[in-house]
Amino acid sequence: MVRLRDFSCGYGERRLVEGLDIEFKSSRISAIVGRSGAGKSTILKAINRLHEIEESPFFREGRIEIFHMGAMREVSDIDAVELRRKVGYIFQSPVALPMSIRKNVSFALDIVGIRDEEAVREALEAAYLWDEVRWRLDESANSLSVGQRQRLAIARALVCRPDILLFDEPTSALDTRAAAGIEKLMLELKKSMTIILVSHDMAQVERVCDIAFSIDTMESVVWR
Amino acid sequence: MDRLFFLTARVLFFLTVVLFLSILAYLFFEAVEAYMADSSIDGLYPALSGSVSLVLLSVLFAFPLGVATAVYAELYAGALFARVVDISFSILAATPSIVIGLFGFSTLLLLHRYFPELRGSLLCASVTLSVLILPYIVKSVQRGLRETPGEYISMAYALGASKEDILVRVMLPHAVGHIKRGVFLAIARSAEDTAVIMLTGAVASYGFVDALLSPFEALPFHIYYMSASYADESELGAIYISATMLIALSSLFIYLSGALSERAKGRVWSV
Repeated sequence: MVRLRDFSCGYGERRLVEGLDIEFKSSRISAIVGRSGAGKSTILKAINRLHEIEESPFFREGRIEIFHMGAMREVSDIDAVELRRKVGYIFQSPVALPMSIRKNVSFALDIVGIRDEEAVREALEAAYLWDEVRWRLDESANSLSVGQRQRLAIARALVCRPDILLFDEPTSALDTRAAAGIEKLMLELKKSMTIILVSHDMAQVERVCDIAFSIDTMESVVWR
Repeated sequence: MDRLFFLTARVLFFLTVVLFLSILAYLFFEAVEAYMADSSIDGLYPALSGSVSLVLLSVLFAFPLGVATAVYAELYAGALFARVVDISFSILAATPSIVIGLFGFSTLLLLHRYFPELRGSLLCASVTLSVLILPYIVKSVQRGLRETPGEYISMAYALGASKEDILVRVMLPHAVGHIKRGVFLAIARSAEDTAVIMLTGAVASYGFVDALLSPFEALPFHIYYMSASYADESELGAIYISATMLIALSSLFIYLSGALSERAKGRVWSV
């Protein structure tokens, strides 16, 4: 679960989000929708503390809490590395790191010195990619199609067994067929985690999300 | 207009290739002819051993220093310091090697006051040469790090990587191409430079390299010295053989450093 309380944020003098109170429950896909530049992706970055790597003068007020180690905890009180392993982030552009498929998936494990082939396999299976790549795990990940690369990005996040997945317009660079594959995958993943989706595609939001929160009107629409 | 541009580029390209191959072919055939006429090239081996040692030592000194400087400037220092590093190494890269040689020579004279037994040596020449080639390494590593796509870096952070993880696992492997080119230049520069070594330890005749603190022979100095003083055809032939050896030596080092860097990249990236 992710909870934002009286949350405001922005860059420099520009306030993007003002006094937001919202809860993203587990086993649901929650969408954040709104006009371009309204701060949807900024909220995702704030949850994952990815804004800290940017040089822009970011500010935030209020609290962002996630369910971690048996209690709701403020994200800034959790070690950033640990937080990012528990909160997976899927970017808009399906970019693969220029290394093998196996190394891409095991990247998050490699950096902490864990070698777990089973975890790599499970992550690829969970991302519906195993059957397509099982014979060529040591080939360059750049040989994959755009849709496969996005599923690889999901597998890369899943290898850490996260509780929360943040999707930042994950299908905007994909064709309809590949996008449908990602949607199907999200519906499967929501059974065991909290998913937050930022999307411009309202048809997609209606198709896959249980609830959508409009950042423009500060209102929620519940579908399921 | 496009056609004219294309034709001019094509003609100039072929001229460059022909010129380059002609020089190589000329040196090679002259060297073969000299070798056939007088097959004894034993006198060149000490100079070859000196050049091999010189290239290895100067790159060994300059490489870690260059990588560390570039990494610090790009990842940890402020924008002002990075700019200062940029400008300083641009100036150093443009400094004539005789000036760097003079710096090595002056330092040697200064040290000689406190250590009277110290003289021009392989160590002194290698350290001074490493100053000469340092900008090539610093600049190439800096460029490679800077050109790492931002999305790779964001993605790695999002997976819980620290700055150091990203440096080792993403940025440096990505920079291998640039680093390799920098090392190639550094090898070629340290193999061919004469001005620095003639002021810091190279001599016309010493024998095989036997100690770091002893004078040494080197192929470029040998070529320079023999060209200025050759007495007959056989000595002129030895110059061609030395030049061919020098080209072969540089090419070998460049090949080996390329293969090594690709292997290092492959270890991290497995592709």
